[in-house]
Amino acid sequence: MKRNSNVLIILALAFCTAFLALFLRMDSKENKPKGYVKISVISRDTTGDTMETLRQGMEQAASDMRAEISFITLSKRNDAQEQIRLIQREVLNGTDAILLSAADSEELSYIAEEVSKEIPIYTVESPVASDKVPQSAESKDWSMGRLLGENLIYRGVFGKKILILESSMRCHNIVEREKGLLDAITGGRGEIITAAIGKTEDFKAELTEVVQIYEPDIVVALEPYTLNAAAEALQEKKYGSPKLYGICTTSKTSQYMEEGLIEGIVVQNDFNAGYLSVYQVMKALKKTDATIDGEIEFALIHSYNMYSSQNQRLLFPFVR
Amino acid sequence: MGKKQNWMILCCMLGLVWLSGCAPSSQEAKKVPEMKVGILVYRKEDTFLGTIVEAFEAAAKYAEQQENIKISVSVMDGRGSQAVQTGQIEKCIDQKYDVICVNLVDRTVAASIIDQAKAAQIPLIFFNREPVKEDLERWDKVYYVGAVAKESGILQGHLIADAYLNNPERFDKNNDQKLQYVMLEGEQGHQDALLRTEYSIRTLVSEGIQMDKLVNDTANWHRSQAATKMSQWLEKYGNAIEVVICNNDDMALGAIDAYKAAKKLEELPFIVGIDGTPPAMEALAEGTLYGTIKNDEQKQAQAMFQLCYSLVFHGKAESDYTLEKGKYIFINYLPVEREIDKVSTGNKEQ
Repeated sequence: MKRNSNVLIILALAFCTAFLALFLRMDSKENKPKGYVKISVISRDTTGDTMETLRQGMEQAASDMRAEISFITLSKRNDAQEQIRLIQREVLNGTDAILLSAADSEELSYIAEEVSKEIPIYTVESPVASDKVPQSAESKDWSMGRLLGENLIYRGVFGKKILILESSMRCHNIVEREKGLLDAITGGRGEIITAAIGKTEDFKAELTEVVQIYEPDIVVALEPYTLNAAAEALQEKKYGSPKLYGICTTSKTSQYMEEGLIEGIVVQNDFNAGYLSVYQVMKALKKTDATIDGEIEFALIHSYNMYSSQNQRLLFPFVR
Repeated sequence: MGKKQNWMILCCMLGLVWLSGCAPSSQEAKKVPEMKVGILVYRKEDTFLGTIVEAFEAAAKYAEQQENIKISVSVMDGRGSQAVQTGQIEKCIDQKYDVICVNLVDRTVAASIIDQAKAAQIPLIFFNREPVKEDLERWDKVYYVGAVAKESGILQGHLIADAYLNNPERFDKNNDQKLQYVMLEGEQGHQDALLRTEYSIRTLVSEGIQMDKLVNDTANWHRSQAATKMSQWLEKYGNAIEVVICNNDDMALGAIDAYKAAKKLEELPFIVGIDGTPPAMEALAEGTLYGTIKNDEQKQAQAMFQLCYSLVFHGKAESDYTLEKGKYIFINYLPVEREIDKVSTGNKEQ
């Protein structure tokens, strides 16, 4: 009888011990010091240049809402596998949320969906092909492409050769831009040529070769990385003097437009887009009560009107 | 006997509870070691600083892949304002960065920045703009990586002197055995600007060359400001300018821009800069820039990165480069010039 009661006591103690151990581990996770919300921003580029203004908006929002941005770039542009590894690393390292510019909208969709079950994940600039992973702002890509196309028609494309440089076509936002552009200019009386670039390491050489082959009157780049490379090649007089247009911008783009290398660009308010992306994360984490309008404006800017007050606000959000 | 056994079992269980609380979970065990570095530059548009930042980021990326670690590099632009930069430093401290690299806007505020970092126990690495020795000695976890400014001035002086002495007729347009020069200087009061200006001329004079200053002024390291100044001087002095001496490459390129804008490339004098930035190397290849003094951004960035890495992961400062007095890493300059036999024909071929 005495032995049975001893066994019962030991069993009871074992049960309490197990419960206590579980409670301690759970409690230690909940009580982790959290002064700042950690947000990992994973770019699809090798440098921060193409997301410069977006990042400025993110940093401002982070400063306003007590978040900490960890901005991560790739060692190789548009490397989906590297992005997947980085996402996994960030989750393991305890990030609170992820903002992702998907290198490949299809390939990143599975991992993004899986992550969304644990922490908030939003896409910026380039979405994933999944309804379960929202974009931080409503996409304007088709509209931006269309606006550019309408402008080309307005300026006249009759008898002209329009070369569209297709880079990063695994990103759905880029595809949408091209769709919008083609919807506007197809049926106009210009010759439309599309050329895929980005197959080799020497991006600029590839681009130059393509332009030299087709000798276009107008060249359109669907993203700032390609646009800047085209402007640099034009500056180095690697080919004739087609009119260069593009969608979205970096500080270098503005400089090239000032120098007359770029004719016009469609620019969206990247600063607000960046700010909104962090806001969406903080809202999802219930760290903010603020209500912010999700509209991101965009405009077509030419070299002759780039210094109007409205356009300066889009091109140069910070006065230096 | 039974009681003793029960107590032993109880103690073992409590020991297990304590161990399970302390041991890392399987998720924590898979965490990748992390290093957070802030790089604060006085002005992001500065071409040379841009090359250092780029080289640092490349080194960080390489280390990430080799060592399976996470290195977060946050580059912050001081926009030429010490108040902005001080705010950024406070933010880095608040967000518990592991190490902060600072290119000061105003080197006279180094002491207060060091005190803040010391209070937070976050090592500081100053780069490119050297604080005074007394400030660096306030704490043992403060370091400096850069080049010796005086050396760049001396090398620049030798560059011009060697070319002139080899072929004085090519330089001395008016044949008066003197070199008429203009000087484009960095920020007023900036230590590097003062030393480069002083030592380039001192070196030329020590080589027995008579220098005749037409004018000097500050263009604040800026290419566009230099272009504006040079345009004004071109109007005033025209062909009398035989040498344009610039404290950095950006200003040298600005001087070239002024000649291009005035369509006077055929009258281009000898223009020399300092830094050896990629645009300057292109101008050198084009034949518009005579020479420059290469400030080795790769080595500076490597030295900075090695210090950051060793401080965070080894708890002490280590580098492949010599750490003088436990604090300073100085990287040597290198002169770079066009071949002398291209000098006489290069401009006319433009």
